[in-house]
Parts: sequence; structure tokens; C-alpha cells
Amino acid sequence: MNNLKFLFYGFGRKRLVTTIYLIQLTLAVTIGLQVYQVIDASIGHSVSLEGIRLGNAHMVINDLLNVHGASLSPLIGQVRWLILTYLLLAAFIHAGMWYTVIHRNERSGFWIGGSIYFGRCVLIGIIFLVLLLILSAIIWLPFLSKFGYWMEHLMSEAPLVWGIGALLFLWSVVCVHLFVASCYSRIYLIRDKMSVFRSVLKGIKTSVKKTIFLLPALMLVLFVLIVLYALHSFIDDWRILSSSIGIIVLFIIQQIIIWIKISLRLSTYHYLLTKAEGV
Amino acid sequence: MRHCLTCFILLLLASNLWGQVSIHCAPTRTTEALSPRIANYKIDVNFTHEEHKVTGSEDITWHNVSPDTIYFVRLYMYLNAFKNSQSSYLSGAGLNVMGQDLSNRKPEDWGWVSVKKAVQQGGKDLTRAYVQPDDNNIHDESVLQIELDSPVLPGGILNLSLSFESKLPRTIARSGYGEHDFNHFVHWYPKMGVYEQDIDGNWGWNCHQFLRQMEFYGDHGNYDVTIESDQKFVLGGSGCRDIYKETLPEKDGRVVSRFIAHDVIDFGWVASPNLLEYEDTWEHVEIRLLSPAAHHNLVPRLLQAAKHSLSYFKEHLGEYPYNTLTILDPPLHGLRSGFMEYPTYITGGSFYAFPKGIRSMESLIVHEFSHQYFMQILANNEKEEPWLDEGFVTFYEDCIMEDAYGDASLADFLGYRVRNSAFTRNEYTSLPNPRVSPIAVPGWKVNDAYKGIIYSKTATILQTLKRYLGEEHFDEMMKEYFVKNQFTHPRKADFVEIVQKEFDRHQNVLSPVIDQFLIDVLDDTKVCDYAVTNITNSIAIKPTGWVNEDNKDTMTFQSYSRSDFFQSSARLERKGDLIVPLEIELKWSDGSTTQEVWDGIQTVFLLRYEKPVQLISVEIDPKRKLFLDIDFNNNSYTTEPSKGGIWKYAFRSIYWVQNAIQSTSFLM
Ligand SMILES: [Zn+2]
Repeated sequence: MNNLKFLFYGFGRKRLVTTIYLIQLTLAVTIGLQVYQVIDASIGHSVSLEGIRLGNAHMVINDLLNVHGASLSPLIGQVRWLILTYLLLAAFIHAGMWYTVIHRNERSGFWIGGSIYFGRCVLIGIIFLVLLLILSAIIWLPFLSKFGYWMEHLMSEAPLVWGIGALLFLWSVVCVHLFVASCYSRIYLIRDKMSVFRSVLKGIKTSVKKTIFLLPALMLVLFVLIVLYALHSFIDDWRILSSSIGIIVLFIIQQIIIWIKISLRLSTYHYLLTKAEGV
Repeated sequence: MRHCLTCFILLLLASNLWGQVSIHCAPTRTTEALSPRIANYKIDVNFTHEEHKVTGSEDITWHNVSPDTIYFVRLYMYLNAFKNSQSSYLSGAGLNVMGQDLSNRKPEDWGWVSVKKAVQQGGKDLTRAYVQPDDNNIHDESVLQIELDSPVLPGGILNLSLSFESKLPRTIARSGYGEHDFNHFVHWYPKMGVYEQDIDGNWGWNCHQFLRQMEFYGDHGNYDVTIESDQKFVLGGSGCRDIYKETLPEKDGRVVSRFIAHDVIDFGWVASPNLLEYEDTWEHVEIRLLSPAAHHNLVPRLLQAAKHSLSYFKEHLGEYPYNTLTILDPPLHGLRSGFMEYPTYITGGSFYAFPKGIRSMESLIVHEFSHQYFMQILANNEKEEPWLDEGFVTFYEDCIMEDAYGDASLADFLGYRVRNSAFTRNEYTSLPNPRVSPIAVPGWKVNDAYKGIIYSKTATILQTLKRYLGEEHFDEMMKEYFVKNQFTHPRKADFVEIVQKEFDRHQNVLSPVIDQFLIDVLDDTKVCDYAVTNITNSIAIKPTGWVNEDNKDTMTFQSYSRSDFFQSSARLERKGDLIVPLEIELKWSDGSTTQEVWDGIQTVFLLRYEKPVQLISVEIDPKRKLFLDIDFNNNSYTTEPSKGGIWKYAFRSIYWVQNAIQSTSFLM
């Protein structure tokens, strides 16, 4: 890891990060605007709005959901579709990011990489999603199938809580390995021009071999993400951010966090590339 | 030899004292009888844990306080609900009852209670048969009728001696056994029904069969319960421990315990070798918490909730008259026996490593403790009028929790803050059909939404009454209800009468309609929803054209000109069918506020004004006294809405969607 410098690689690629950020923002805004419209149409003239501005939202939101829930529920369906759509789009975006990082082409690398490798990256993505599904089932299903029995028969629930903790840890380890494997697969695909299946196989092999050494850096990234999440939860509560300007400031902070998260992803890609074996 | 003689004399003395029922522990604060002590029980059982069974004797002393001569008695035999799938409790429920698969039950998983012998004053074995007063299901054995040899005259006393056997089922609900020798004996012995006047004034046995959506009912009395058990068990239950685990030398490894409870309507107990005992006191009350080792860290939280409940009731309703409170915090394998109330004995439900910010387990302790007042001291018929206990208990649970833990009483976790009363109100207002049933009906008639109607709507009504009266007068009303009805079986009329009186004494906007209000909310399914749907402000025009000034014949021409006044109007609507007079607050552009009262009768009500200022906002019931209103958001209308709140949520949803798409695509 040498030092923390690798974290800042993404910050230096502002154009690329901002492009990706704008794509994500555009998608999210379609939901955000509808949320605005629905709330405005439902309770837009109510004094209760003051309550949600100040954070005393529980009863306001409950009544809103009880009375106008029908107009909000289609949005949940839309978010589901949006996530699915973004899964496809992400194959393009991540291929573009990898191409830029590998070929150091910050001008047009993103669009070139995205268009050339989109199909193959979708395939790689699907392979890893299926792998995740299978491995998750292997980890969780035996536990869940026994859960009801244990609830009635165990002396105490403490082993269940620890068991869930242990499985969560195991599952996280699997997720990290799959993430690393999926990254190296793309490196082998784009840098070394391997076929999809060979790059996936080699990616998995690399992951098994290398993840342990990459762990400090990956943990550091994870730590930064957790800090960002905690920071947001912390300031989200601040009364000072409930004025009109405060609400805008909060939005700007939220968007900066999102931007940082994209740049961290780019930094991680670059870091993994530097640790990749040569052709 | 001398020593042995002393032993012999002591033993003789002890056995003599035994017979005279001398008591060494004090179950209540006073030695006087608190209740009429109609049904009294002396129970002596031998607990064989290998079979999850008790066998023994039960001597019932029952007072006939009716004007009738009693020729037969009826007893509850609750455990027979779990004897087979044909009981009224289990039939029609399908094969899965409360998560228990009936098709998989082994012979030892079923439970029952049976009277082997019943004699009256040393006479012959009495004729007895199961009866089914509610549903004529001949397979149901939850009510036993015993024909008496010598009738009990008005004012007379019945002495009935039973030999009985109770076998616990593997727990389906409340009563039963679980793994690791967990045994919960509640509703476990033959128990007298209540001989009383129905609402039409006719005397008779009120002894319903045990149906699923139904709880319990019994007369107050004294209990003297002796249990012989294996020494490995920790025992706990109603009343005080007169003798606790005294070794029986003649029976190696067996111990005897004796519990005394006075002026209570029931007796329940638990036996498990895996419970730790924690003791604490609050004023005169000895609190004994039985909890599994894994819950050690949760103990202070549970005890604090119990002690706060005791203090709150002392201040706001009446002092807890008993000297003991036993709390069972069930282990995982006994969780089906949790969440329940018995006299001076309650069962909670907690979970290892439960986050501190989520206080549902504290709320549960507060709820079950509150039943000591509503169900136990005020022993309403839980079967026929469950709202009088569950609804009142839910209301006090909310009050106590908010008093103890503040605004975010129920949850303050990861930015999610919930107040108990708001949560309860939402359980009612979020019902798919809030008109599904009136409140004041027997439990078995509320099929859907039992919780939302019986618990939550009732609590929301009480919250409404409290908000109209103010805390001081509300407490005054409830104290009167408590004092007047303690150790009796209060009914709806007893409560309604006191509410009417208090609203009469302390006039407020609801007072003139309180009688109709109570009918509408208790006996009807009316829903309350008032709204302000519009505000308009337009500039008033001075009279224009030929105008007769001051009613004189001379006409003057006045050309068009604007006045300095605004014509303002607000449109108020009654969207529900509950009619309540309302306080209305209007805010004006100069910052002033004015108040109005609307009788709430019309479906559309227009307020019109001509003032030099514009109408900015109108709010119905600004102090949220009418907690029953199912939608607070439409209670107000403002021409200057605070759109910041909407933006806050729109921005927040953008942020979370961005996070969601970033995280879910981590492998793409
Ligand atoms: Zn309850």
C-alpha cells in the first residue's frame, strides 16, 4: 500500500468522475423529483411540512403513507427498475473506467472502453452475480433452514447472534474476493485481451492468491466509506441544517459524498491495476 | 433421645401450623382484605418435570354473593384447549397454530387438565360433565360443570375439594413446556367461573369456553399454593414466597415451595433450572426478576422499566397494593410463554444484544405491568370487554414510556425516532379499514385488526380525552374510576359514567357532545377526519355605481376603487363521519392569530372575513387534542408552505438512490 496516496488517484481525474457522477445523478433525480411532486401534491399546503423540515417527521410520514401511500408505492417499483437498469449501465461505466485507467486515456477512454467492452463486461458481471447468488445461498440457506428449530431448542439466542455475525463476516470475505476477482477479470479482458471465460478464471485465481495482500488497502477504502456514512448520519440530524440554506448545504454535502465514492472506486481500480501481474 | 423428642414436637407444631394456614410472608401492604375474596384456592401439587405434569389437590372456598341458590358450578379447564385439535381453541385454525405444526405433535406434546375427583364437604364424588355454552362444540372440554350435592344458599359458602392432574402441552401459547426443562404453569388448574349479573340484570355463570381471540376472567380471592418439585428448579410466580425450596428429607432431592397471593384473580408460576434470580426493591415492593444468563446485560433495563411503572402509577392512578412483583424474562426456548400478564407476575420478551436505542422490551415490561391495574385490580371481563384492559394498558404504557424516556420513547436508533403514542395511533390509523369493528365488543367478534382496534384505537381515544381534559383532570378522572371500581369487575358503563362526569365538571369544547362522542367511538365505527382544503385572499372592492348613501334618497356615483381590505375565505371539510366541535386557529399576514370554534357538523364549512390583512394559514385543532383524527396532515392549509421539508426528502431520496445503484452494481 506504501502510503495513503493511492486513495487520491480518483480526485485527479475530475472529468471522468464528474461524468459518471452526472449519469448517476440524472437517474436518481428522476426519482427525487417524483418524490417532490408526490409530497407536494399530497401535503404541499400543510403546516405539517414544517415538522418534516425540522426533523419531527414520524407522524407526518405515517399519515402521508397511510393516506397517500398509493401514490408513493409506484416509486418503489421504479427504484427497482432503476437498479436493474443501472446494473446494465454499470457494465458500460465500469468498462469505461477500466479502459481509462489501463490505457491512461482520460480524454475519450471512458466512452471507447465502454462501447468496446460493454457486452463482454455484462457477461462478466452476470457470471459474478450468479456466483454471488450461489455462494450466498451456500452460506445462508443452511443457517436459515435451521433457524426456526434453533429458536425453539437452543438454550440461548447468543450463539445465533454470534452465528449471524460470523456468517456476515464470512459473507463479506466472499464479497471482497468476488469484487477483487471481478476487477482482475476486467483487467485481463481489457489489458490482456483475454476471452471472457479465461479472464474470469484467471481473475478468480488472482483473487484467491492476492486478496489477502490487498486487504489493508481495501479495508482502508471500506473505512473511508464507513466514515462518510457516519458523517452523513451525524449531520443529517443537525437542526442547523433545517433552514432553506441548510437543506441546500446538506444536499451539496450528500453530493460531495457521492462524488468521493465514485473517485474512490476509480482509485481502487487503479490500485488493483498496479498490483496486477504483467502479461 | 431428647433431641429427637424436640424434633418430634417441632414437627408436630409445624404440621399443626400448616393446617391453620399460617403465613410468614406478606403478599399485600395491608392485612385487611382488599377484595371481596369470592373465590379462594388452596392448591397442593406434586410436579413431575419428566412428564411436565402436576398432580394434587385443590380446595376451593367460594362465596355465593348472589341472591340465587347455586345448584351447579362451572369451572374453566383452559389446558384442555391443547388436548387435541378438536378443541374450540384449535379447531378451524388449520394445521399451523401460532407457528406450531399440529401435524407433527407427538403424544407428549399435547396437554390437558382433568378432575379425578370432586367432593363437597367430604361427600361423594360429584357428577360432572363438560359443557359448551358458546359454540356447542361437543369436543371442547374447556368448561366443566359440577352438579352440587348440597346447593349453596345466597350468602352461603361452597367448599369444594378436587383431585386434579394438569399436563402441560409443548407450548403453543402462554402455558406449556419448552426445551431444557422450561415449564410454565399458567391457566393450569380448574378455576371457578364468575357467577354474576349480566347487563340485563340476570344472574348466571359467566364461564366462556376458551377461544383463540379471548383472554381470561375470574373473581378475586386468596391463593395458597404448595408445590413439590425437583431441587434443580428455580420457581417463581404470583404472590410472595412463604417457603422456598425447603428440602424434604424423606424425599431425596425433592423440595417444597409455598406461595401466598391475596386479593388476586389468578395464579401462575414458572419452573426452570436455567434462570438466574435478580432482586431489587421499589418502596414496599420486592421485585424479583428471573432471567437467563445470556440476558445479564439487559437486567438493569428491565428493572428500571418496572420501577418507573410503579412510580408512575403511584402518582397518576393509585399505589400498587402488593408487596411483590415477579418478572420472567423468558429464555429463547420459553419465548412462547412471554408477553403476558398474571397477578403480580408478568412475562416479558427480550433478546441478547438488543440495541439500547430500541426500547420495545422496556415497553413490553411496562405494558404487562400496567395489567396489574387493568385486568387484575380492575378485573374487567377480558373476554367480553377486552378494550377495558388492553386499550387502557396500551394508553398507560405510552404515558409511562414517554414519561421515562422522553420524546423518542420507543425508538431512538440510527436517526429513527419514534414516540410510543404516535406508534400506537398509527397502529389504528394505518388499518386497511379503520371501521372494521367497534371497540366495545367481545374479543371473539373482532376478527381482523384486534390489535389496531382493541389496543390502539382505545389508547388513542384515551389520549384524546386526556388532551381535552389536561393531565391533571384526566388523572383525577382515572383515580376516581380506579378507587370506585378496584377489586370489582368494571364494565363500559362504569367508565362512561365517570368520563361524562369529569367532562361536565371541567367544561371544554368536547363537553357538550361527550355522550354522543363516547357512543360514536366505543359502540360505532365512526372515523374522524377533518381537513382545511383551501384558502383564498382577494382585494375587496368598494361599492361602485350609483349608491344611496346612508339610506337617503340622494344617489351618488362612485367610480371603481380598491379598498384597503381583503376578502379572505377558508374552506373546511368534514371527511369522516365522527362529529366533534373543533378549535380553529387562523394566522394573518401581520403575524396575528385568531381563534374560532366550529361545531364540526357540516361536511363543508366556509369561513369568510374582510380584514386589512390576508389570511395566511388555518389549522384545525392546532394543539392536536383530537388525537383520533386519522390524518393530521390535512388539518391545516397555509398559503406559505415550508417547501424546504419537501426538498429535504427529495434530496434525501436522490442520495439514497445514488447509494443504492452504486452498491448494488459492485460486481458489474
Ligand atoms: Zn396486554
